[in-house]
Amino acid sequence: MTPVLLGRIQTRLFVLGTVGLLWTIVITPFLLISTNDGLKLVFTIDSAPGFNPIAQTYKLTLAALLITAVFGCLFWEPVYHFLMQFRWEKDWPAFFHLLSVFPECLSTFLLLHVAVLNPFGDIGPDKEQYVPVLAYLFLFFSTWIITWLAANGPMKIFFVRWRFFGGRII
Amino acid sequence: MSDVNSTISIRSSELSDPMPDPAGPTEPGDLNAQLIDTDIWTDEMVQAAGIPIVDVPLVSVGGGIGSYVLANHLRIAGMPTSHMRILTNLDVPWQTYEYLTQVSQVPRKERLRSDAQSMPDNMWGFPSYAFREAWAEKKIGPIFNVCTEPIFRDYYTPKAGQVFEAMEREAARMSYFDMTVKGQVRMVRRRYGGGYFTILTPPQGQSATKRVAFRSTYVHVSVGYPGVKFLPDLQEYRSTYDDYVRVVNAYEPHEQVYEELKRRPGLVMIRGGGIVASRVLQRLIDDRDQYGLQTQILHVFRTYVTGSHGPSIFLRRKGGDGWAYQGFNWPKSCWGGHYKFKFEKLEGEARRDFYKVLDGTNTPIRKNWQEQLARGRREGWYRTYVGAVDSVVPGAEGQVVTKVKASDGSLLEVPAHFIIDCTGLESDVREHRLYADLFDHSGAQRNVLGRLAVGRNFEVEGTQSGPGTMYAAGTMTLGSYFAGVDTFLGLQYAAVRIMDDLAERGFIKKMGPVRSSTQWLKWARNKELPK
Repeated sequence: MTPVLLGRIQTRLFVLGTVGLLWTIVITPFLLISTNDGLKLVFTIDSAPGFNPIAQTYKLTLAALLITAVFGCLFWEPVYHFLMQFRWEKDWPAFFHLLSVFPECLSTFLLLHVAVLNPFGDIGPDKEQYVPVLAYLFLFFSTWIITWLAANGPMKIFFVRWRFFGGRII
Repeated sequence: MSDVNSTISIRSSELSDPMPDPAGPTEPGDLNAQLIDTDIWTDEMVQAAGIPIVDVPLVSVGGGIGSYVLANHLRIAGMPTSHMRILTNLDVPWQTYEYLTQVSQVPRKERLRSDAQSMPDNMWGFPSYAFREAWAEKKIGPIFNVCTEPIFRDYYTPKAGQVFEAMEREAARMSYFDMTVKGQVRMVRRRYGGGYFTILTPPQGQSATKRVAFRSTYVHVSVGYPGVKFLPDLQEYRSTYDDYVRVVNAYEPHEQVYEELKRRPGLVMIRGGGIVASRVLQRLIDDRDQYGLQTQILHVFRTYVTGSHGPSIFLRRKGGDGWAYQGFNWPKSCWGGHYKFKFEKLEGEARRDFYKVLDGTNTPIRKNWQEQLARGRREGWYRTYVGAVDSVVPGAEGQVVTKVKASDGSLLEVPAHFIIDCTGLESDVREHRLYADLFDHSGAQRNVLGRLAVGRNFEVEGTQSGPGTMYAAGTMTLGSYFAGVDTFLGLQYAAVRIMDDLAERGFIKKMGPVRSSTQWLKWARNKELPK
């Protein structure tokens, strides 16, 4: 890809808001969470008064998606854009896009623990809650790969001008 | 420039018919002096000359890959075949391209220098040639390649044959050949009242009159290269000593060189540092390896690149061993990224200066080429020389001696049995009579690089005619607002811009996401487009 900054931001928001959101909604009830009875799928965990495991997990997964979208636009995309300036071709190989799963997975994980940034607010060191690591890794990597595939292929079917427009949709 | 011998014909620009007799037409329906001398024609003038008029909304001149790609976009956007005529002297759109790639050592089984998503047969660029090759041959390699290029692998590039076969399939799907009309286009002139007349000379015996006029609102000119020029010193040698055997151009058939080298060992000199030089070197070395030949290769670089080079850390191109390295003929973002937006904003001198920054002969890094040349240097059969060529003269024992002037002024004499000119200098745009006529009679202008000035929508500047518009695409528009014109992807970009401009003028409907995706499904199922 040969994105411009605005194109990076628009493409990120578009793929996360479509296939990313869809995948998150579909996969959340099937994430594996460690409980007192061992690893269990979210939808098989029993509810308790004031505790709905499915709703609770959706809060987390959607928060992760939102943080990845917003923090990515504000921080990561400008960083990538800056790094790209050192490349003669001013391109951003698909492989770099794929590799950025590592720093972004970490940044979103850390930000989920910052109560102020977490729009759903139950997470934080003082709340005795935590982000289940295995489920998080699976969710993040799978979502990343799906959105990466979408951005490198089917995107062009819908938006004929997108590839000539630095990744901008509008 | 008028010396026809200095230009190698590449068949796309054959100027077969003579200028008309100023005393008057000798055949029915020929051009007369009044038409030739008048910039803007009335319908009556054309009728008075006895030239039959064919009405069609859009005419594309050329019939090569540029015309093909535009036709494809418009057909997918919903244009019926009756709305477009493609005037061409080619049998198939890829004819000139295949001829040039073949003589410059890229036969159908070899790979082009073209990105996986640069697809004349697919306006979306998806699924790319890499995926299609993987699918067809049931292997994962090409997909792995495009996912990791250019970090771990060289850029994936499609085989020439794959592209031609895919184009053939798409030509049938869009009924391309229903739109073509055979003949040589002599000129395009503006019409009084709007639109244009395009004068076609049909093949002898196929028309009652010598010329046929196509009256259209829109004209698209995409005739490709006027011709390939020889290096001046080699041209002088060829014409002075009448030797067309030992000194050849890579863009003309020169198989005899390789055949002769199989019969007896020889010294071959290569001139140029671009992709064609790389291809010719590969052929020489492949033959050397395959037949156990003793070919010695002498390579003259005018500019010898020793490493990364460029004016700042943000503008450094890789290089080494004489070559400047770059995946494609422009930096990738010229087609749809940072540099593309930059070119669109630049005017005049600033644009020309930026072309200079990005320009320069270059070739892609390919592992097998690196290996071959490293081996040649190590074993001493590949040697490089740096300097400007002073002159080329005949030497002893059927050799040709090149006098190379080094930077310190010393003159070095290098004898060789053959010289292959791989520089690929392009002729001036006026060498093509159609362009010369546009400059002289239709208001077309030269851009900052001396070629045809086109706007951001590829409309030929200065040629507006009422509601009518003339567009141009391809190599002769280099120097305008888009750099990658002489490429598959560049032709696709031009087609998108022209398609959008035509939609704004009401010729077709604007293509949105719904039409685009439903049409893509039809493409995927190879469903024929309605005529």
